[in-house]
Amino acid sequence: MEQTRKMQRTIIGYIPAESPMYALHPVARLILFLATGLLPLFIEAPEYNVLFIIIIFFMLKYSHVNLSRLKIFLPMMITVGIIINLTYFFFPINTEEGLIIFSIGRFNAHFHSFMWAMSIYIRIIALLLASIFYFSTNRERDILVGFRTLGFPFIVSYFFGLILRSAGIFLEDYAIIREAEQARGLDVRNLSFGGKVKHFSMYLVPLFTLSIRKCEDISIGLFSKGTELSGKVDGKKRPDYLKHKMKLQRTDKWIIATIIAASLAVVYFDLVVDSFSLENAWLYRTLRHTWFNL
Amino acid sequence: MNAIEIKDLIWRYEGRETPALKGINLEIEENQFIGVIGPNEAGKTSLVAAIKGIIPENYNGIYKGDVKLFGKLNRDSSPRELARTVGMVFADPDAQFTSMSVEEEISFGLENIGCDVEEIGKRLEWVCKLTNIEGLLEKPPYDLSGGQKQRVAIASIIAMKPKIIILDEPTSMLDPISKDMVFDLLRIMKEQLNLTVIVVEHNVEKLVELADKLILVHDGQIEKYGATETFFDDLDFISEKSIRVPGAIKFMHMVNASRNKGEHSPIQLEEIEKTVKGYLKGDE
Repeated sequence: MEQTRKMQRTIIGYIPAESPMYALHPVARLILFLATGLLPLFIEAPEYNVLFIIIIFFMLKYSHVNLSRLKIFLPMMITVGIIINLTYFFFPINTEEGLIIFSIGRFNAHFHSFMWAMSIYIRIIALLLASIFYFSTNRERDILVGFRTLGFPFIVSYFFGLILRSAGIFLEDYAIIREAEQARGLDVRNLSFGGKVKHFSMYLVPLFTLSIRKCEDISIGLFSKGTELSGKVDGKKRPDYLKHKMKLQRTDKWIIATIIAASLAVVYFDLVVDSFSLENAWLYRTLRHTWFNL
Repeated sequence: MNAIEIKDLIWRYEGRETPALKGINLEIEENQFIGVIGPNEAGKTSLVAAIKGIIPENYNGIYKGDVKLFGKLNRDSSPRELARTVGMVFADPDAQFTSMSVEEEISFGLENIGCDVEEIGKRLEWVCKLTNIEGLLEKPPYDLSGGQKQRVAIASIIAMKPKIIILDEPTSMLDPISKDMVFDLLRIMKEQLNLTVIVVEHNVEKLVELADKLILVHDGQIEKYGATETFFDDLDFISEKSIRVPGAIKFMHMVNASRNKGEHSPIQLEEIEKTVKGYLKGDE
């Protein structure tokens, strides 16, 4: 109960009621997300991405995010890991060097494929955790202000906002339909997996009907508030109250500059010096030496 | 000056055989509080949608006649010009909440009509105090009750300071306490704001407490338009049009009929109470 009170709901989960992250401007948080989420995609060496993951965990803790909520992502993390490893086991790459870890029947687990699968998996996990961190420390309006401050046109940010709003309405309608079915005695927990899938597909008909009707209502609502998607009012730039209210502070500028510098350094070391390639990775070389004495 | 002038308005939705509005003629003076009553499917929403310009802008159908707001044909106005003149609150509080926080929702309309950011800040502060939603500014729509959403919707329209505000069944999806809160807001609008208010509402008891005039819409036509005090003088006519006449008004009619009182009966609860107490004391 105490835990619940300290959190605030968002469309896709919860954010802490108080967090040191809130002192940062939304655009600084957005750039931090882009860096922590996208930089691992440039890095093949698993050890650096593990370091990223550890840093994200520290940031989650520092930001007062409820770490126990991460367990809902565990099944997805495990499933992705299994799928990636099986894919590279059955469809290996770089088989010509002949380094085989083990064999099952006529299938061989090739060392390079195994390491490549590990590299991809850790990158995906880093991106996933960065996304969780971002959406666990930002309300929807922070996301929109971040976009607008980065210079996205009003139409783009507003369209994105409407998508978020529509998702919220869709989920609320879904909860109402589900509760109505439960009130009539349906216990979804007793259904088989196939039954649950079939039942969910039955929800989609009323949900989409409601969505279409609400789209019409929302468009009338927008018309009645005088919305014109030109981004201009009477020939002048459309005012943006929230963006004006949330001004970039000196700390934000320093953080943004540091993140951009660090990102450029990573890209430079990756593309020019090739420091982050899988073959140059410490873990790759260590395991290769340990298993094959090469 | 007339805030609204409607002349020979006919509107038929595409695919329907009969028009929703059948030759409406109406004049509403500035700064009046108007109640619109009538049974379901009578054409009440179509009438106010035509005043707002939603009809014919957002629907397909056949439109004939003129709707003028402060002397200007509304079909000659852009959505922005219309928003500056007339604001509208709908029945479904969810459908009109298009932003991700209360603050953004209120400032959105103000940005649309081109208020500068300092003015938006001032109006936000003013309207939040007026509608008592100061504590909700940071909240997203899914953290609000239906009543709170409707108060925000009303606040967002008041903040735009249009000359006319239309509320289309603003309490139909709310619980009783939230309904009372919306009517409290309507009273504030009537007493403190200098504007024309049109409310479509089934709750006649509450409406008669506020409305200067009432419009009875039935089968796409205006069957009666007049001052609230005398509107219920012919109860049989009102009942014939499927309007549920408030019990207190019926009671007063019966009392007055039994006492052979010729003049019209009081309709507001306070007046009725005063009159009945007077009768009990023996006053004539």
